[in-house]
Amino acid sequence: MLRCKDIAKLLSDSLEKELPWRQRVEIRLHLMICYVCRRYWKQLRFLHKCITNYYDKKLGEDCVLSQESKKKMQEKMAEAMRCTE
Amino acid sequence: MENKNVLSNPANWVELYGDQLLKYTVVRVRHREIAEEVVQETFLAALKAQKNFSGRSSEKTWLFGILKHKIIDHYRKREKEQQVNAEDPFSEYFDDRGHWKKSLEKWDANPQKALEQKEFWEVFSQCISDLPVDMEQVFQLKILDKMDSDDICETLQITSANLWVRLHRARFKMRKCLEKCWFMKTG
Repeated sequence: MLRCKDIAKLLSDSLEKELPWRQRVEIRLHLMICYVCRRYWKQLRFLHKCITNYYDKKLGEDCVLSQESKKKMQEKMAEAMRCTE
Repeated sequence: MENKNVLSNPANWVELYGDQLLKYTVVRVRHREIAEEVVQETFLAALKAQKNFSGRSSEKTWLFGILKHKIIDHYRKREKEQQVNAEDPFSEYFDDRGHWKKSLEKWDANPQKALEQKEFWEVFSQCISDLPVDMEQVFQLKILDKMDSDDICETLQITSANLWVRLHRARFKMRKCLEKCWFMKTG
């Protein structure tokens, strides 16, 4: 018999890969009788969606170097180039 | 016969690639200043490694390759600093028999609406930053780099069992943080 603690782990795994059918059945039966795990599963799916959204949003944000940072980097490069000459 | 790429003058790299490298880095490391440092280090490392440039890839691809290594180095360093933090996130929730100690809080009936609130994403970002870096890194490799589990395991030199545990722990912690810092506050 799987315990709630194991179910929580398997629910997370199920977001990544297909579980063997035996485990899937066990999870389903467990969720039918355990409302805390049911709640956990619901929250986990919500969280999973948020994580994807979060990084997608971040990817869409614009980001450029300030003139000041650029200048600083260029100076450091020039300095390093002088040293290697 | 062979079309070999050549490197441009390194003095122009910052102007040509600075923004692109920064954009790539800023979503992967936690602070803007650190992202800029990593980009700077990348340029300096590239300058030193010029003679190793084979010309098989473009200059840009080559620079990105160096940048990726620098980001992974950065993570390794941070991981070492953090390794003291090995607490068990589960003991608070499960008893010795593996049952929930108490029920979980019920979240808002419609958590979806949080997604449209700027404040929610601020809290979310804070919760992500509170994760140990090795946990956040797996999310990043999965979502930002679109890596599958095999690639992630290879990049991080871990087993797949280790990867699943890491994801489970990360989610468990994130859930708790969101509950504490958002759902219990907004009611």
